[in-house]
Amino acid sequence: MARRFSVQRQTGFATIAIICFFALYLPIVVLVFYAFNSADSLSSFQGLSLRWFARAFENRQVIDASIRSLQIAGVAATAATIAATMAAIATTRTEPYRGLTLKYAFINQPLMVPEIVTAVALLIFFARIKIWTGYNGLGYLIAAHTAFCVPFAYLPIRARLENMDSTLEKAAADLYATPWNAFRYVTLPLLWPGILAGFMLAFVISLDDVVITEFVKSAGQDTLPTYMLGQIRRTITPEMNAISALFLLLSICVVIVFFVVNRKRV
Amino acid sequence: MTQPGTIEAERSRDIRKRWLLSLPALLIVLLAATGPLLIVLLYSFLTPGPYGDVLWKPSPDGWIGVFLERDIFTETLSLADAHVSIFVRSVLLSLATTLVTLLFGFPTAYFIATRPERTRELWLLLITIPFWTNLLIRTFAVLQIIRNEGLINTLLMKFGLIERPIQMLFTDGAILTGMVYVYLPLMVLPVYANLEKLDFRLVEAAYDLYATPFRVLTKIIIPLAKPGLIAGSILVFIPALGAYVTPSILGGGKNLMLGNLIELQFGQGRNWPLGSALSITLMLIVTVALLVYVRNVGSQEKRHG
Amino acid sequence: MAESNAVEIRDVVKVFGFGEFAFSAVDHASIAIRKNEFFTLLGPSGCGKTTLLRLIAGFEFPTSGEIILNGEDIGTMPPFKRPINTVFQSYALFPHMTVAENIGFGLTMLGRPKQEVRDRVAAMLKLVRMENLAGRRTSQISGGQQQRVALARALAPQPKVLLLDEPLSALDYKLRKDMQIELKRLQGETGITFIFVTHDQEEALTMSDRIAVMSAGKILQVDSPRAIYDAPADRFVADFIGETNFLSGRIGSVTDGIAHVDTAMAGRISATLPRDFVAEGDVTVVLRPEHAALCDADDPAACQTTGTLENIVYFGTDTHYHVRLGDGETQFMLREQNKPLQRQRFSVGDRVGILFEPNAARVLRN
Repeated sequence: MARRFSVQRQTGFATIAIICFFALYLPIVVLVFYAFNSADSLSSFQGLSLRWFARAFENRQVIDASIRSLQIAGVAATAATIAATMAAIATTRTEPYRGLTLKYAFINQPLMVPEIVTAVALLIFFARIKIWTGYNGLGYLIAAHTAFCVPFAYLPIRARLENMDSTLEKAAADLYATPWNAFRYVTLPLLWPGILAGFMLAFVISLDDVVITEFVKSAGQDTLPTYMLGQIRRTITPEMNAISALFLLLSICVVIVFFVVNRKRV
Repeated sequence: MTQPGTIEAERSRDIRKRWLLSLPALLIVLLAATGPLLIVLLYSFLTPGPYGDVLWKPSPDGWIGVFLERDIFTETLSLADAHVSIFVRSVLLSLATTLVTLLFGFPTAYFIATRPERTRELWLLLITIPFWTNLLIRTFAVLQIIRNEGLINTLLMKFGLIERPIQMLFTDGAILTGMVYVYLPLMVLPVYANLEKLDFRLVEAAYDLYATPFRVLTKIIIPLAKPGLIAGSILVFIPALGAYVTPSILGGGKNLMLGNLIELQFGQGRNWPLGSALSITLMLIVTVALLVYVRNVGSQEKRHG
Repeated sequence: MAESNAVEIRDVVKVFGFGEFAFSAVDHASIAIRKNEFFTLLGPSGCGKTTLLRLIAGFEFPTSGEIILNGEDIGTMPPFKRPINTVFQSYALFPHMTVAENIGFGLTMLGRPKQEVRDRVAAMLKLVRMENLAGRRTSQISGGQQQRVALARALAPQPKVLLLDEPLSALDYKLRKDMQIELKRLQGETGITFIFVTHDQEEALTMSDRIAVMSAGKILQVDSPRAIYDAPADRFVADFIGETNFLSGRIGSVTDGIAHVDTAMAGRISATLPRDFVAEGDVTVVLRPEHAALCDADDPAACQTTGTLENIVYFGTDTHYHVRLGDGETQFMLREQNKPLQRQRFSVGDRVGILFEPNAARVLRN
């Protein structure tokens, strides 16, 4: 035998894995590469340039959509994280009680329903409310984003709570910490990485959303993804690649922060 | 001095506090996710309005339209071939997506799980980045690879293997490729989470008892990884069945999936009751898939304690 | 005499579960634990000793009964109001704080001035000999050091009572021995009442002023280690603490607190009677293995009984012999101290005689 026996080795698995990683990154690399194309179209590559990035930054619609995306994601992720943290504390480390399963089902419900169905439901629902109230602002988008962000924020916070040694809070109580002090000085600091992870997950999920936003938005409320969807359906210029590359950069930064925060074991 | 009622009182106070704490999350989900689903159900039994929306008149037409169509002149019902074929295509494409991601995702997850501790984090990061990256952008990236002037056709023509570009975009194959590409991380991550906990002493025991590597794979590793494999399959199947972005970009206007058909009823079709009925149907299929999952994994977890 | 008691447990019952699943983890337990005492709750796992400890700490509340501290029933008081601190089995050190922050936590929660907290932390670090590790994270120190931090943290607020829940179980043998001595020293230096929970009888015997032996939620005997070992109250205590031979017989006569018991297996045995125990009829006699010796079976006059040597187990300091007595069922254990250059006198399969030390046997309260 050329290779020494290893308990973990399975023939061909490593090859398949490497192919997968290659296939996952090749399109992204090509996409980013063409963002630096100096040509007018994507049909040929004519040399490096930053002109499409400059173009993107001059595009009023892109800037507006980006700001709107960040606004919605910021508010929705914050609200969802606060609600999810409270819910996680309410649903973990307890003996089962009446309604606990119902709570799980409710909180995770947005994960179980195809996005398109939620999108349609919100379209119908908000259309009514718009008629009743006459309000047309960003509130609808923020409410919708908050709702589907709740389960994403909830997951890491809950996981962190469940893994937390409950004797630590007992120890705090034993050392004269009132329930509030035990929460403030022991539970919250230990839960913090989970809360941060939950927030970032919710933030990215909100930033990435296309379908629900597409159905809920009123005229002139494009977020960056819905703006891009509209453009991709028409004609594609390297400007879209440039915007995508910047968007990718943002995502990668958030993932790396998430990774560092979540992996660091206290 | 100790009142017997104290403990029960304490407990009911605790439960009341827990309800209060979960209230904001429950309310927002009820208001902007679960509640509206009930309105969809209601709308599916109403009459379409002339410019979209509905008239408050009950009608079964929305539901009839899911699979049947009414002849304009004779008023007779016949099978709506277009809808049936979209349903069949959606289910088949989603199953195929699940299967292909399973075939590629399982070895990839296994590969990551068996890396040494130090490099494992890096591989995991590499699979997590696409997971967090905008689905639209990833679909856009696939589009640029497979379109007529894309990377594949350009290379093939450069090497003289083909004379004219192969039409890959706007086919079912394009949708399948795109969905496999965007949903692969959704398969790898839960399978990895499961394999990470795999006790390799069990594998050693199997080898000790004369099992070949293949038998170790089929008799030990896969059965133990089953909850992860099922979880991954569900996580891929559900969004694939309701996919909207990927088929609408890579499938063009002709190769519709359920998501696009639904969207059509709320857009150009102006038939909200039909769109609502289609949405409910989609949800029913998803619910069946979820029930299968709960059955399998639920009982599995109970057996393993 | 209530002032000499640190904690008094009066008829405490703790029931878990409801209806048909209800079971009493602590069943009408009463103990008075004295001030400045090293008191041990000893028993097999599941006997209710940890539940009793948690009741005293305030993590559980009694179903009925009273827990008296300073003349007040603290049974329903939450843990953060009780002047009692705990050393947890898992230590439960706060992973996000340094060693010093951990030790100062209790005093900070009590709202003591910063300077006082600092001084006290320094004193505690000195007490457990960890001065140079004050700034470390608790994950960066060894198991033995974590143990000491847990101790210092619980001692820092100067509690009336310190509870220790099997604190040495995670340590290896050598370290455990060192910590046993350390604990005794700390108890002496601080003068705080220690209530120590363990299932390790050796630990209990070596460290305690008094021991309470528990089984199935009940307290069977509360006494000094010597009294528990030499005069076990019942069969469970005799069996749980150390090794014991049980022989059944009938009381023949009683003179001066010594009973003469006729046994089927070993003839007439003279055995000590428990005080105030009027014995008659069938009784059980217990004899510790170290109170018997092997003798030559061919000299019946010198031996109490005879049997077949079934097993010889070498223990370093001593050797254990298992002898099957005449009826072929009763196994008798005895233990002889090893001496240098000693030759092995008997081998497995030999017929051997057994000699009892005079008056070492004891009649059990039935």
